[in-house]
Amino acid sequence: MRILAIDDEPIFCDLLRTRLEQLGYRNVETAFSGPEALQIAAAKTKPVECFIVDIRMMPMDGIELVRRLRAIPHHQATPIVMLSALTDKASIDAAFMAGANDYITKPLEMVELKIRLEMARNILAERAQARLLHEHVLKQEAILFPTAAFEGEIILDDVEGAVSMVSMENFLLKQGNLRLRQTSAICVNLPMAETYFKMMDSTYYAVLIGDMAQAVSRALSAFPHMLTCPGSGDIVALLLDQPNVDCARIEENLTQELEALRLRYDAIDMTLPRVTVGTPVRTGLFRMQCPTSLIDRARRATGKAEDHHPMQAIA
Amino acid sequence: MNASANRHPADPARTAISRALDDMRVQFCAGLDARICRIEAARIALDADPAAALETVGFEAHRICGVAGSLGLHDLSTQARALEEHVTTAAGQDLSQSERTGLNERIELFLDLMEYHLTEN
Repeated sequence: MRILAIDDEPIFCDLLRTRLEQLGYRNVETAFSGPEALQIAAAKTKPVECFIVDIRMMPMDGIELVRRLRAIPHHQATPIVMLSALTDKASIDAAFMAGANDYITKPLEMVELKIRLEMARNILAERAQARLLHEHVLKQEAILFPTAAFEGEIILDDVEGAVSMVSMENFLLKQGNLRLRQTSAICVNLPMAETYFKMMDSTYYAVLIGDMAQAVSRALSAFPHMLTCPGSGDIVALLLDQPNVDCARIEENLTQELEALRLRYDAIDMTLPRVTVGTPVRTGLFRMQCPTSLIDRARRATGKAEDHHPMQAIA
Repeated sequence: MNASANRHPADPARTAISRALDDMRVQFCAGLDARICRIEAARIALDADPAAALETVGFEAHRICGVAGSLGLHDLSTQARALEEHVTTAAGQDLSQSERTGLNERIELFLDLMEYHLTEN
């Protein structure tokens, strides 16, 4: 894995390189500023496969750098790990919202670095598969991916706020229950998803879920949000700093977005799937639950589990 | 049982890394003088231009916090973080005389600690 580490403290870059080499990552390059990193990142030959980015840098800070890296077409999905001494909620939120996949706090801990980079490697592998899928869709080749499972995650490209399941879990773990008390999770589900999955091949099923996720993202555009497709026809969105979610407004927005989509589906003689919006859930301040359980609770709150909440059919 | 029997044989790679880290620690401590000068200059300017002075002190403390801790200089890292938090809280506020004195003292203590590492390492 070719790594580019960006930190305006040269001695920290040396230290990081030494530590990465110790972990077996020998293909490490360093940059001391955002503009320098962008120059290296722009190169398509020997592309960077993982970025490690400090936040507090001059003249361009790490958050802006992540935004610009994500704007480079071949780095839309490259794993980005933030490495910063900043531990406040605003910095962590901003990093993930800009497109970071993970967040490590300084001082540097070897065990944490090792785990996070293994995670980055997994993201890289998942993204490679998603890219392959995308390329086949572009070529209109209906191939079946043997590993695709209905319960498996669908990686979204080109959807505003879309992150991988791992990134969302990393975000939740980094924030912890106390900081997450202002965050709501909501799940949109396609009740007939499994039928669609069996009817179509997995390539087109992924496109269908991508369309739905796009509609959800647009419906949530008024709120800072991130979303993921963990599988089984679910789209889970986190609404940051939204403790009281206006469900009626979201449903209204989603109805409008789906109507726009319906016209496209009608043109190809395809029925637009019905979706349901679950009840928003939040973390309890004094609950001893893992922060990532918010995702499962949101999924259960669409009414699929026994302890279901009222279900609203949207389309 | 002979104590040396439990000792791990010297791992050349590990030794090289330890040596590299030691060198970096020495290099970092040797470079503290420039950082001391910048923080000291900001401390002196605290009354004249508090916003710029706090920005400088916060920025320097932040950088020291990340590097020092990663090099095993945990006391310096902890104090740097405390100073950064103090400065962040103070930024944008109209500080009273006693608050300004308190901040000044914390910066002085941090400078003392930096000087200790500058001379000891």
